[in-house]
Amino acid sequence: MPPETMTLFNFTLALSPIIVVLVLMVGLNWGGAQAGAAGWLMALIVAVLFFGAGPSLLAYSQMRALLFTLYVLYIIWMALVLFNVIQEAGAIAVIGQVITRLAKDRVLQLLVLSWVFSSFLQGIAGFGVPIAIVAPLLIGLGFSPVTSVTAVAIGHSWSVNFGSIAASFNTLIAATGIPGSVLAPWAAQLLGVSCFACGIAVVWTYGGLAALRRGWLAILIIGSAMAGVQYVLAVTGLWNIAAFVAGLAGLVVAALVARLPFYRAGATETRSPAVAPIASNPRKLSFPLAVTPYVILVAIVSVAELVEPVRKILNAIQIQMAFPATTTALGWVTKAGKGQSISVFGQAGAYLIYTSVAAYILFSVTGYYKPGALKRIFVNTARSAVRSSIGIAAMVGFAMIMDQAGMTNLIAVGLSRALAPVFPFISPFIGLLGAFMTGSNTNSNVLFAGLQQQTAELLGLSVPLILGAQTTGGSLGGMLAPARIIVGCSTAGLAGQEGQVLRRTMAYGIIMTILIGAIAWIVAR
Amino acid sequence: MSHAKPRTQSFYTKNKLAIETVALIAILVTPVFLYLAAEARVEIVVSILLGCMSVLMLAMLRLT
Repeated sequence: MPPETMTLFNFTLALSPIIVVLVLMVGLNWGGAQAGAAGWLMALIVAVLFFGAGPSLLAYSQMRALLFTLYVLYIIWMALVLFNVIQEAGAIAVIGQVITRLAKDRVLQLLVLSWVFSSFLQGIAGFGVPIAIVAPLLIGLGFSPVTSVTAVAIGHSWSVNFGSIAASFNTLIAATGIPGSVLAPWAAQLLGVSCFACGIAVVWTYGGLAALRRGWLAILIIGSAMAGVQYVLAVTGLWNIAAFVAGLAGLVVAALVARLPFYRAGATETRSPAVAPIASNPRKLSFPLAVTPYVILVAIVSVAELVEPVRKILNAIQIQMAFPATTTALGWVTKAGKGQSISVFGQAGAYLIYTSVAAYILFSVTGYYKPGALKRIFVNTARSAVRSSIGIAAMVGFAMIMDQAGMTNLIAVGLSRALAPVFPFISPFIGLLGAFMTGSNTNSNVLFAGLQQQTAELLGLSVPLILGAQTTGGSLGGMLAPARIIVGCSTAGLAGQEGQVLRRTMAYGIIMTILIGAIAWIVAR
Repeated sequence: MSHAKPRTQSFYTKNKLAIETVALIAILVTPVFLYLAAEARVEIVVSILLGCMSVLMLAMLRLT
């Protein structure tokens, strides 16, 4: 982008679609679909009138957006199918009842599911899977839908960078050309701090200081285990499984914490699960059978991601498109490249299909479905998913317009230039902006890792520290990305009420990013 | 006239899933035609399709 385009007027214009979405969702409580559509229209008008985006550029931006949308919807729809397959058999209610018995303390229940189990799921599966699976479980335990979605959105965000087989971290390595062994220590330390912050935020969102008094011991013990294991694995070169193993360690330690007298003796306000066993099922499921679909999911994802020959076979068929370079009238060039690739048989959406089929067969054979179950599963899935899908399509569409028109870059460059003296503090906010726009830490690193690297070099700052702050900000940014919030709300029956959740996650996300920025700034001085 | 709005709402409520499904399909299909028109370098068609997509997004603002 030519230097003369960097004016306060252009900066404000570039920011305007984001402001529109935030005001509509957070201020006026609009749903994601409507706010996304308004953001899309605003981005289109600003891109055409002020950033010189031509018809071809806009057309390619929407095709790129479509590929990314399909990638996301593949996961969301299949996560909803899996949930309904399990719910139809009455398994969610059984799981809820057993967890209530094992961990009687409400705060511990919330922590175990929204912080530990969701982080474990993030370690193995990607975009939106933890929130789509865990939020309904929490609702089944009697937590309010808004608290459930908020807690999971916050709870797993620290594990995004090294989660999904470290997709975001590997992108950071690829985008900067810096070895992972150099980048890992700072990224793992800042994410370790975020791990504790996420645990604290989860209990605070449920019950404020009173809940924190109940949860501090569990946060300290489980957080030390998860952050410690992730750090050790990341710095020893095993970053691909760092979040996965950290989540696993968290689950084991959480099981031990639940046995502590502190949590056994002081069980508080235990309630019966809100989801009652489905009346259509005459026989009650056993707990092992109820959790079998989740065990199958973990097994499938582990084999598919960690066993290289299987991974290769499953990823043999990919949907991918090549796009030409585009230029705006202002001179912003988007290089030619490939859009989001969709692995038909080897991505999270596919793993969820395999699991859903296996679970459906399992519950059918064992006789836990009433006639018409299959139809109910698909109708319930469509009811939850259609509105959310519109919202995601609109959000991704406007994010791509902003990206290709150079608006997103202008915001990031503007922030880094205007606030150069405190750049380490701003650095995680740039990562956060990328994740907010695209719903993905990986995409945030694609967009901004180069910019952060160059600015750090120019200002004589530690590049690994700044890039650690970038990817930590991107990781935390997932909790306030509208596209992700929409995913959570769709599985929690909150479609159209995304603004309520965003209002809560935004406050926690910004506070945590301020914390990371402050640490980076102090260290850089 | 006073009955027009409730009747419209009732139609929307009754057919909510079908209407939203059609809207979703339209939003997902339009970019494909946009891409094809851009590849064929027919900018007038691209502009018309962008106009159609804008109308679709405007219609989304009416979702309740």
